[in-house]
Amino acid sequence: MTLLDNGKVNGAQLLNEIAELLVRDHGVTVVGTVAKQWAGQPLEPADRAAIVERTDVVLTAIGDCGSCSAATIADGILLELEGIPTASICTTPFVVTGRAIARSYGLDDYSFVEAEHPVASLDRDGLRGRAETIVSDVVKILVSRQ
Amino acid sequence: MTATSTDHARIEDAASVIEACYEQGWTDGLPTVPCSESALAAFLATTTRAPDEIVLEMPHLDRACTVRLAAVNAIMAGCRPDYFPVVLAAWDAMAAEGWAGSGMWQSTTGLAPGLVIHGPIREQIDVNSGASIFGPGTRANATIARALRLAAGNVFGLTPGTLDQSTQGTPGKYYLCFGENQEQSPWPGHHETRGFAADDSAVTAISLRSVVHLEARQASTAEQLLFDIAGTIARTGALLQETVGSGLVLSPEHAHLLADQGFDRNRIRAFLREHATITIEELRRVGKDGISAVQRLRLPADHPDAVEGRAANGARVQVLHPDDEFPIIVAGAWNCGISAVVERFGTGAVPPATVRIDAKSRDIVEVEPILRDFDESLRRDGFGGRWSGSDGVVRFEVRTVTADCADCLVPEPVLRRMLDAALQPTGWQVGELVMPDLS
Repeated sequence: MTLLDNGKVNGAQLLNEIAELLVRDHGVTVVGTVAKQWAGQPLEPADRAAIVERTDVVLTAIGDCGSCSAATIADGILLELEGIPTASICTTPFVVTGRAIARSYGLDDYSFVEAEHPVASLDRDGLRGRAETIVSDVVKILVSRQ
Repeated sequence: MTATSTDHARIEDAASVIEACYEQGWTDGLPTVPCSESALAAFLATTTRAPDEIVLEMPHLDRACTVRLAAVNAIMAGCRPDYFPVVLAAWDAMAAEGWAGSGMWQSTTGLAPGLVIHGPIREQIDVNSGASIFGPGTRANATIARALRLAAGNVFGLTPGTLDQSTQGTPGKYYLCFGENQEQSPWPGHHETRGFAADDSAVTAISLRSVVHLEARQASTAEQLLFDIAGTIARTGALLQETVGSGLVLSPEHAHLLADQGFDRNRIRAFLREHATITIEELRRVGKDGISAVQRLRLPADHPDAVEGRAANGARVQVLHPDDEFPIIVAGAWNCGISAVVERFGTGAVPPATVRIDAKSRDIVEVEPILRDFDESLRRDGFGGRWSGSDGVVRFEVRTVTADCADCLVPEPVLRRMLDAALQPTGWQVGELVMPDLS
């Protein structure tokens, strides 16, 4: 698995907490973390190709603003189109944005992970709690797309 | 005002079209002007650019605004055809600045596309650069900015609560556009500082978060005023990242106070970079003394994502980006010591863009639908029209076709008033009006 961090506050921390649970309970191997320099746009095609090259699945976070939620969902869709199952995580207020962007790609039923808002202001215990709440949704999405 | 029954019918028709636009969702909440094929032709005639040329792309949404779509939305916003070259330059400036195309029109920040117009075009299309520049009252100011915001919804699908996730937005999203008050400025125009000639017309695009009012009518020295501005820039609430993007809109009174005491734009910037500061204690008490790993957002120094920020007590943090050549624009009425600080989106590393307005010489095609209507009504009485013209002036000749009703032709002054009234919304005027010899 590759962790795709969009650079938003606590995005990498949340990904690491979830990854720890996936490693412990599902035998996942994390091959690396990719940090996006700009959260408001999907990955550049070359960066996406590098991920596709070396990984089976991707976990990406955190869509907790207007532009980064759209880009987080778009990253998931674009990776899926290249055959890489991806779980994108958005916070609750941005589910509507996620659905709108999925519709613009013609994927009305595209599913992604909803995390309770907010994430940016959580401390370590809060992040662990959020990870435990959503990890089953992450697994469900990744397994359904295998 | 009185109205005939025909007028009533036309008003009801217009109202029903406006309602139909609401039903389609083609609105920002205010009524929109219905766009007809002839209006679209008149707008497209003001530019040499192809209707399908893209003016701004949002690749992540797989959507693009073309010249044609820009024209449709400019019409709906209430623009006149002669505003369209300004609208196109405004799109170019937004694209060059970069925030709009990079997804930031979707941001929770809720930024407004602010526009400043420079050069002779201000006079040609009556752009307000004086009293109440941030308020309503001028067609060009209101509708040029509105043309962009309408397209944000109608072309890019950025409607509130879906792809526009502005938490609150800013009042500037309802049309922030004004002219630089060059006539009352002590300095060259802002566009001249960006490499354009004084007699070029240009637009500057500034994606901004807010416009902060500054009361300093008592200031008598440049230092008093500049410390007041520095304090206004360096408010903790403005800080999302390490530094803030800024801009000054100085009233003529403030600009002359500074210029008279030896401050030009560069000296003003240097002073503000040095003195727009916040102490580390002030940052700590609002939880902004740390910096996040990737995007370098401000957060508490003990936050899980903080990588920096344990500065010593007593340290002062400069809030302006050292490389930011932030815009300093003179605008507003020369009647009081009031100015504004513009809070730009971003850290100040991305400068606002200024783009020249390339107005094609104005082609008669713009007003031909109106002239054809006139011709048609003259023909009912055995007369016809012939016209020529360019650059906003029409030569109109009435000629005899069947001449079976010499008394039916209205006198020259009346015809001139009717033609002028019909042309008024387009910015064109009647020049020579030739009447037939009926003797």
